[in-house]
Amino acid sequence: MTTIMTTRRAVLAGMGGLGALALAGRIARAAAPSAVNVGFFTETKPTMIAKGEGWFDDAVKAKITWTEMGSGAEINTAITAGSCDIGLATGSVATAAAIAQGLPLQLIGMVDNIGPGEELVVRASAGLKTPADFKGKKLATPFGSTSHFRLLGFLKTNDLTQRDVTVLDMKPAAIDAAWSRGEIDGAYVWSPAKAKLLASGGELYKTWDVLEKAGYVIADLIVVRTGFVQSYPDAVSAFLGAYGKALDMYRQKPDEAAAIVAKQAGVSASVAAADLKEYDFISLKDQLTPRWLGAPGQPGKFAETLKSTADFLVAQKSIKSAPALDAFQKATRTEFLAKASA
Amino acid sequence: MSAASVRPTARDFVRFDGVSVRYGTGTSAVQALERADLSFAAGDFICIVGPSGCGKTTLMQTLAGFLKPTSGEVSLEGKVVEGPGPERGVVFQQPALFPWMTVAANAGFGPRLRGSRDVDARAETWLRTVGLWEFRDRYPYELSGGMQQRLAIARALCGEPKILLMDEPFGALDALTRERMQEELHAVWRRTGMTVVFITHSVEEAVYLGTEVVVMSPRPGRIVDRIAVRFAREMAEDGIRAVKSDPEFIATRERVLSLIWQMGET
Amino acid sequence: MSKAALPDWAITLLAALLVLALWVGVTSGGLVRDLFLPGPLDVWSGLQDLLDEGYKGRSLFEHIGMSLMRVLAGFLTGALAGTALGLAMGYLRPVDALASPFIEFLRPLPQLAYLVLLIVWLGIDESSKITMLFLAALPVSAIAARDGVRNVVPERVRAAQALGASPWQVFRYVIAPGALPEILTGARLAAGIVYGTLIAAEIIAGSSGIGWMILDAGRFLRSDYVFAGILIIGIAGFGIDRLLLWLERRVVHWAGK
Repeated sequence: MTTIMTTRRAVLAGMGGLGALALAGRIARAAAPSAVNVGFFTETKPTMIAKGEGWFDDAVKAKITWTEMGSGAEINTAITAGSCDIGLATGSVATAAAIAQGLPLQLIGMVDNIGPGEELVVRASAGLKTPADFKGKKLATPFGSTSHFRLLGFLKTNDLTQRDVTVLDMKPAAIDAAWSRGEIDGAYVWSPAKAKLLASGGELYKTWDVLEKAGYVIADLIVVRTGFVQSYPDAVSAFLGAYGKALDMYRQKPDEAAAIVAKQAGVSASVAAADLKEYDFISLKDQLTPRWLGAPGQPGKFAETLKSTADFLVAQKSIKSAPALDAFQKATRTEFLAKASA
Repeated sequence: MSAASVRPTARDFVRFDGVSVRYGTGTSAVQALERADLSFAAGDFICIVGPSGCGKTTLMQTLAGFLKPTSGEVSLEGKVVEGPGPERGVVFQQPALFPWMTVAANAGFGPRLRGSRDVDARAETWLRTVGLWEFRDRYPYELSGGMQQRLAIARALCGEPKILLMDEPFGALDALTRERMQEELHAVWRRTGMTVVFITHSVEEAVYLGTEVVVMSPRPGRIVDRIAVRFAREMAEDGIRAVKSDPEFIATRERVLSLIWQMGET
Repeated sequence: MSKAALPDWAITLLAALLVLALWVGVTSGGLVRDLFLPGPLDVWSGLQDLLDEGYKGRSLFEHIGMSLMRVLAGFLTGALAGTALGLAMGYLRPVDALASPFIEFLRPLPQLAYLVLLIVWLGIDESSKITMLFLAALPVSAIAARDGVRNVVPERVRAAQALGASPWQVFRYVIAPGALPEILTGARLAAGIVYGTLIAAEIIAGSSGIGWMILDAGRFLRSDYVFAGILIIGIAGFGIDRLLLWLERRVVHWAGK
């Protein structure tokens, strides 16, 4: 742990402009940032309500620059480069990798437990009923994603190897295209690709409940650049508060919320309403329980999920090494959640 | 003494009948050649001189078949020229050799195109004639400028044309090489009795190489005079030096030069 | 050049050593983390690791072999088709009028733009990857061949015509060899572009190839593998280029003379 901390500091010091920026931020300790860069994904989640209604801008008291990202890994890179302050609804796999690598970001909150939101869709006509049926089949998933992690977990828990099953690295749009040509037998992916596959000859092959019990929990998280956390703690709390407000609105007025989300995501209100139901959005209060992030001084179970995710990535050779549990606990900062939900 | 009296062959071996060439259209049109009439006999060595833009290259290109006259026609042995053909060999100022072929392959290119059986023998004959036989396996870029031009001549002659058209073939050579090439060309002409049309900037070259000097003037390109010369036929006995000091040679040269100077003044 | 000046090879060697020293200096001092810039030893051990255990289910040589096969197939088909098309475009005006707009349109198009279309049309197997590389090589080769034909010295064509060459013979013996230097230069250019497109092609349903490996390893900053992959791809690319250059010098020995 100590080595990681020192090296991290070394990076900040050594990376020229980035280091200077971080140091300047640390010294300034201004109450409100002048500009905030948020990396996000266009998706059907309550986060889109706060974005669409301008609540996030109001909360951080600055104009937010929204940048659409291609993956959680991209958010990691952008935060490391200092060009992104907040990663909104980034995947837990990318965050586990980031913390394991000592990247300058901290976990401040969750959006959802993905649960059945990402699931294996198989071609109904392929007759895939048991894990053994998957031998010799082609499955696609975006590599490095939470879906990829789940799919690898599915293979591992069923004693299938990547020699038995061909796992292909494809973006959701490419999965859609390959599916329509009948070239893949299944895909582990999220909506809208998931919905499209289901609508065109696909059926769900339920894996999520068993995998969750086996420790393959995946979630969408809110991460913040460490320098930003240090400089603008109030903005961080307020940002979470704005998300909490959006979540409340979704609970109280789901139709109104779906309409706003639909407009932001560019889908119909009915699609938005249906998609919203797929995720298990966790209230700020629940996030503070031991089951998830825990409270200040009382780390929750989610740090263990991140640790086991990182260990899995090491076994996959996606990252070199993973630190001990406390590194993940220390990178999880719950005081902002506590303040936002108070 | 006229060329016709030296060799009494029919004068219409080659005929230009009212040949005009106009480049472009409308106001930017250029009359490169205006109603040129010219005919000469087989075995003649016709030298064409004149200032730049007088249409001498244009005239030759209509005979080579690279250029179609706007009006009038050109014929060889009574046959109207419709395009390029192997009976009319051409040598350009730049040798225009094929650098991807050996010296021997360049020389034998014409006969090989026609599938002749004696390609190698013919190439050897002509390469020996121009003194390039020992360089047969080299590539053109390994030869000097003079050697390259000799190869171009050998290539044209190897095609066994009835007439050899040369457009300032020695223009790019240094004075010494040029003189040697003139003698070599002349020796070939004397031996084969080939008909040659030779464009040059050098009046002196024209007067001692040609059996007839055709003088052209520019804007529009016209034939202004034809002067029969006897030195070409006599050079074998007298040699170049003797010819160049002959008073009649000097007089003829001055006459052609004054013709050209007059054009500059108008 | 003055007498004191170093020979070219010494300058090259010095520059390489300087970069290496800088690399070692920056990385060994702990100034930069290995995630961002792995040191030479990191890269070396990463390479060893890849050699010993492969990458995600395939040996390193399998990855290299897959990539080279794709590059070779895409380059050969693209350069051959492009050259044939370009020769026809240069020699026959109607062909040029017909094909030019498509070639000019295709040339600057980023390959990623039609990635999904290729998958829809051709699937996720090798055919779509190779087609992408084919499409990358085609326009460059076609334009090089066309320009090569257009730049053939007109006197050479006339000389051949005056020796009795038919239009086909002119093409066969003068135009085609005359355009060869530009065709081969175009081929080298095409090889470079194909090589540069490899990563884009291997995005298609990847799990094999050096391009995909670099991409996948880069996702979570597995920089030692990324650098090892870049090293491999760089050296192989340099080798391919030198091979083509050597071939060019042998085949068109007359060029530029």
